[in-house]
Amino acid sequence: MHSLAQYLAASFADNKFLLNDLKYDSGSKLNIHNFCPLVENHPAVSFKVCPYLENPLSLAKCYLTQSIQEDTQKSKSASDAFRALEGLGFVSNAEGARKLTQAGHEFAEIEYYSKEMFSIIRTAMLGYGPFFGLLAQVLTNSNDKNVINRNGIALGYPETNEVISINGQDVQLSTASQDDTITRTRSLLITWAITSGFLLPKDFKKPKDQNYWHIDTLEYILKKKSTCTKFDVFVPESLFDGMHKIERPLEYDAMTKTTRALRERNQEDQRSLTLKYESIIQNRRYAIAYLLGIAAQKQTGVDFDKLINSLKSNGPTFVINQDKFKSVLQAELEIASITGIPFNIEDRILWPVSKINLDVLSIGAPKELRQFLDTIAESVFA
Amino acid sequence: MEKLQIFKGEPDKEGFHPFAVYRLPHYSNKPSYSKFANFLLHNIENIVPYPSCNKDIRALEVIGDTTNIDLAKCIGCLSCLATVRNPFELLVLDMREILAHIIQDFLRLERSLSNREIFNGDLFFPPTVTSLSATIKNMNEFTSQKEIEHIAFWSIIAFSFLSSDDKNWVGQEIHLNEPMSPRDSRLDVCCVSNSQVFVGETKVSLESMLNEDRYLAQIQNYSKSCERLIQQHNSMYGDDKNGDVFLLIGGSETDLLPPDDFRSTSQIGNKGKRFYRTIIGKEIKFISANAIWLSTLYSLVTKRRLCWDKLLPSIFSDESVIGLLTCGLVCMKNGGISVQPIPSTVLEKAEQAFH
Repeated sequence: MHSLAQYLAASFADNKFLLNDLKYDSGSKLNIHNFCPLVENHPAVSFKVCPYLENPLSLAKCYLTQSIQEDTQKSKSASDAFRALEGLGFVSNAEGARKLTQAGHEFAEIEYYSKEMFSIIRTAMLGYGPFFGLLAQVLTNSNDKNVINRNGIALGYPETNEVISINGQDVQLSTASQDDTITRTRSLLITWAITSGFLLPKDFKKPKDQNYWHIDTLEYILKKKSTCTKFDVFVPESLFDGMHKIERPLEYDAMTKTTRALRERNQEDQRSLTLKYESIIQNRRYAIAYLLGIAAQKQTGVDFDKLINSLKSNGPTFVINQDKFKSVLQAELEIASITGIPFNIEDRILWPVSKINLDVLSIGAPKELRQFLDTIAESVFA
Repeated sequence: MEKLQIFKGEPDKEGFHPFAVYRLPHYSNKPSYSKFANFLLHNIENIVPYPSCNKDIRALEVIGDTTNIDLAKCIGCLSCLATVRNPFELLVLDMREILAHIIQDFLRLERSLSNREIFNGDLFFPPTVTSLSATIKNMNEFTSQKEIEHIAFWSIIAFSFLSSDDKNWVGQEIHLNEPMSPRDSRLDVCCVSNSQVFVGETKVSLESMLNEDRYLAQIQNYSKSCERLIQQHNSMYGDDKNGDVFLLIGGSETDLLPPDDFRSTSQIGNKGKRFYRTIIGKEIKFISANAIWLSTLYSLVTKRRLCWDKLLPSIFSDESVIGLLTCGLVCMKNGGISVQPIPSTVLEKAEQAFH
């Protein structure tokens, strides 16, 4: 990621760039390889290659972004890299394209192997909603020896088990993440947590100086495969005292997975139905995160029963099945954590443990929806 | 000398030097399940470069503008030399000198090869590396592990090299839609040369094949499917392709000898007997990886390409022939299985000069 930021800074400075601009281009003199310290010699060629590609001679050239000349991932790799840079606050939207932010330039300019880099990385990661959600889960699910099992972390969209009857057939809406997505997201965010001082593989020697944590853990991070299933936890409880603000929570459009991409065999009915109700699912998830966000600003909690009644009062916006709404909303509460606003629950009151940037959360949300939530906010507080 | 320089010159526009890289075609799967049909049509989706020398051997090195063989690691698989259609034109050394360095006991072998004394009863054993730094010591070890990366990929290069047609093409892991099978299959090694289609199901060893115990059903199903698809192709395009499916078996070749052959090493557990009992009468044919290696070596020594698309149809046209080893044909005759030599006239007819 650091190499990618360096390449973007060198190629574009403050100018805009598109997704394809991230990819390696054999026709260009400047590429990520010019900056990446991980490329290595290969006996069959006189140039250096990416060691993470299954075939190091592949014209894809870079595991992180693939290349213009060869991209068997159909831009998925570049897209994931793009989103990671956004999540870290290193790039921002610029009229459909992207630009490096000031933080992105700083990230690119600082030497990776310097102690200044640690706080840059840690600050950036702590601003990203799903990463904060991971830390919350880690703290909740670790045992009394401060050890967490990989399987104790499950980051994905909530499964609501909603079934719609169509022409006498029951079809379940596809609201949850697929297992492979959960696995990949978890692996990525665990790697981030190891880099930024929150986790260590069990029995890995703890760095003496925290400022060099991101360097001392490279020995583990750079492995091609990781089989570690247990991690020592170094997440401070003070992080969840309600004061930390998530500048980059999930946005409205990211409240559901890309249902259009649902393409497993024989899932056409499920896909069409889920698309039909997608905006309702997004609305109710957004409502949960938004109201928790306002509650956090007011240093109060959200009354779950009042929340149900308030949202039910605007049925077409939030409700698919009135009878099942309570249990569905109960399931949907999981969205709060991955958005970046986890909560504690006491006597059915949801007490947020962080703040979030409501404007970023609301990107893509219908204006009337936000206005409606603003009007009902007071009525759902504890 | 530790490193043997075999080529000196500029790389191509993608930065690759001759002998160091093999470009493997990948075929379109559009419409769905039509990869084999597209393979027959030579409908390529993209071409992917791979190192010609496997990463577990790493005997080939490009240093500056030269391609070199690390003699401490080279097992003499001939893969690098076989990546170039006519290697003689590009080598900086005489082929004989190169082979003398990478093949043990080459001078003795050379005599037999030059006199066409191959496939005539004697087994040929690929060389063994004695250096401690080599992680793989010989062809047997190489072909008996990592089926796709080792024997399958190596066979692709060899079959392309041993094709009489300069415009031959190959494919690996070609998806085959089998309507009657609960899961779809992949053809490990495929090659088209002139009108001949070779399909090879690779196995790392006799033992592994017997343990897996799928080879009978696999070959029978693949044969039916390939025959159907080739016929479909021929009638749609007015072509006249013919194809056959073979087992291509790595590991110890002596395991594949008929059970009564005194040199057979598969008597323990009756492995050899079990294998032959299964394949006899079922139109299953096999070729040892060593036999392909020997054909490649023969071609390089004599400068006469021993073409599979001429040799295999010829030798296997006799229904009694069920296998090909370096010592000759495995034949089932009069209730017994034995090894028979390939007449040198048959070999001669299958040869083609390099041009």
